[in-house]
Amino acid sequence: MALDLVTTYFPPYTELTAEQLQDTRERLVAYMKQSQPELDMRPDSVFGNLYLSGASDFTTALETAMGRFMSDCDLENTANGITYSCDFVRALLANLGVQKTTSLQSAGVVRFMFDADTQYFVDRRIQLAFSNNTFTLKLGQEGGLSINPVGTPESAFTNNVTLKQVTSTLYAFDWPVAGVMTTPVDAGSSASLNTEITGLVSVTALADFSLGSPGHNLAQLAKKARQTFYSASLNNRGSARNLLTKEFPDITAASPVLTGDYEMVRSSVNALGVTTGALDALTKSSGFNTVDSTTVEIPFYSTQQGQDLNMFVGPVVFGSYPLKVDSIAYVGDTAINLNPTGTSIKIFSESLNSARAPMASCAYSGLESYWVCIPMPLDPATGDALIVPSVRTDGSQYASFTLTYRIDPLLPGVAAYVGSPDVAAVGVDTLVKGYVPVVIDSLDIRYVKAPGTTVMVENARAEISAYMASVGGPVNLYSNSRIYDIMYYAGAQDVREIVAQAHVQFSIGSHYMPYGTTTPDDDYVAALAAAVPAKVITISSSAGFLPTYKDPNFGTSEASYEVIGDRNVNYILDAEDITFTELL
Amino acid sequence: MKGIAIDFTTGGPRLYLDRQVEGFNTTVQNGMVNVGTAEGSDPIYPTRGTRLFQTAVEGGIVNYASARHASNFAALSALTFMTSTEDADVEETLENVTLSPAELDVLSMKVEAQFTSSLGTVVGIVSNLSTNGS
Repeated sequence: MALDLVTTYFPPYTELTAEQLQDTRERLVAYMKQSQPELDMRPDSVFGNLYLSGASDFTTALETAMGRFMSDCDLENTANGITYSCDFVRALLANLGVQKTTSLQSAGVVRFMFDADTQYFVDRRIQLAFSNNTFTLKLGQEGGLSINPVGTPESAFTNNVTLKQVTSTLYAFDWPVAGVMTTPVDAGSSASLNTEITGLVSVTALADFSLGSPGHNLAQLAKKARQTFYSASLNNRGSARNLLTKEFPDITAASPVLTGDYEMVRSSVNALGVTTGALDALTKSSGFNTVDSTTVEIPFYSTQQGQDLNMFVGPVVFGSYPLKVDSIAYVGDTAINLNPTGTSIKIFSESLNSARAPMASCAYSGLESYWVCIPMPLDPATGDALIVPSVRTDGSQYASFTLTYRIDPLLPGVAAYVGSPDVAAVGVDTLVKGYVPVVIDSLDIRYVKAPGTTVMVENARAEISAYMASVGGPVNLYSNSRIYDIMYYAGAQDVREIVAQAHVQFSIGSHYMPYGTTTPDDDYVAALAAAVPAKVITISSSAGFLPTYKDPNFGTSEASYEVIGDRNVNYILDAEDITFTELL
Repeated sequence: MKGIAIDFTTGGPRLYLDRQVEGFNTTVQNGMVNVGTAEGSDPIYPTRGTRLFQTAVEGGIVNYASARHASNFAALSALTFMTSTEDADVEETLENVTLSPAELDVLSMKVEAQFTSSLGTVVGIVSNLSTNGS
């Protein structure tokens, strides 16, 4: 690449100011005085006019050109949209491994649905076609994808996945895919496969797919280069964030929580006094807050341990990591209120690996398992049972319930990828989790407006909803000012108050089961006695939207390991829960 | 202080690369250049030079009074600029500049210049003109 410095980098002569030229001339004089101290270089002198004036012009232009060249070498400037030679920067970026590609590596999560609870195998070369868009499975390990029946323990560092029962006859698992997208792939779109898999009912997009690389202008490429150039691994906070956002373009927020952070409760001190390293990779994708449901058969226990119980108790496997449970309904009659007191239903949270992530520290990760306990609903008038349990051939009783809940479909895929031996940080226990949500049941914006003006509340509602969905610490923390701005642009004169009914939900579980305690299906009463109730922090105004709390028993045997701070806070807010009150 | 010499006596400035001027004469030579330079013609020093020539070609000099007026302004302009751009290590600095119209007709004006240094050195002559401007 030939460099035409004058044409490419020299400024127009008219851009050189007298101040710049004088400054350059004075520096040239000071420099040349070292060798010619007697020579008259003043303005009006022969040497000054014939040589120094021209030299000053050229040197000033050259300094500006070199500044521009150095600016092109500094990708921060390019990322900010300042580029003088696109050819040079493009070549520089190519040397850093960042270049424009004609095909975008788009990404999304699909749900495979099967009609039987058995073992399946999917070849890694399988192609999923959404119209004219072709995707392949994003697999962290070598080999194909092994699908195991419901209940099979999932093992790390493998392409294994366990089926989850979503209805009485359907079983599913979710998996991330990547490929080329020329037309949008929307949530619910069906894919066709290039090979036949017996038992496969459907493959559908769980959420809208995202374009891989957001764009290809030099500024965006330079920004990406700056992010990936210094590191893209799990070895430190910045590089961990880069790795996740680079590999999963639809991640909207990523917060690596490391040993020593306030929000880290998994790292511990071993017998030698050495702190073991831990990394919580908190992620949030564009599919965050996707509504999902699953139907499960939960055993019924009229008695247990010789005592009356009259309760449905059983483990529940969700389709993905559940972020919030919206409802639990009896399949036979969804109108039956299963939770008349609000606390009738109890969900026990149990860590699948208490050594890695005890109690609440496993929440919103693949290590959290759940037991759902639903008291038999009774007719308030007669006291009769409202559900007639089905009976299996072995005499055990059960009923089917549909659980509706929110998920982030990408989380399991990120966890699988991070678990890959090529990616996993050496000596650091890495756990992919969702953020701890502040569940906002209602958000009332109290505003005033100028007489005669109209406030476009629907626009404001959509924007506030989108904003709250995008918030994720620590980079993008909640700020009232954003709400004020949105309301101002919607037409409000001022926002006087933001009233909220919200609570911090450390886990979807109402109780944490300590390691080694009796499970509820063995002895519900003993399990409940041994369990630690989940703390609920209520929030009544937006001033409390950045809560800071750590379990005061942390470090003791009674610890619940609950923690929330700037690095792991985010929000669940539905648009319909936002209300607007005009103050007169 | 040394500089390349310019000869102003041959009908126009002429460079002599094999000759040099020294000491206060370099300042005097620079002063002559300054007076003959049109103000605003130097992009580095927009105030360098005088408006003497421009005033003349614009018809601003019609008699000795206006010629003296223009010359006085030119002298002050040259002195101000040269003083402000003087090297810090120059011992014999410019103290005074006097420009006086010596001859004036419809096609030309001859100006005589006198430069006085801080050490009392005087270079050049000043015409002995009457004070009433006639």
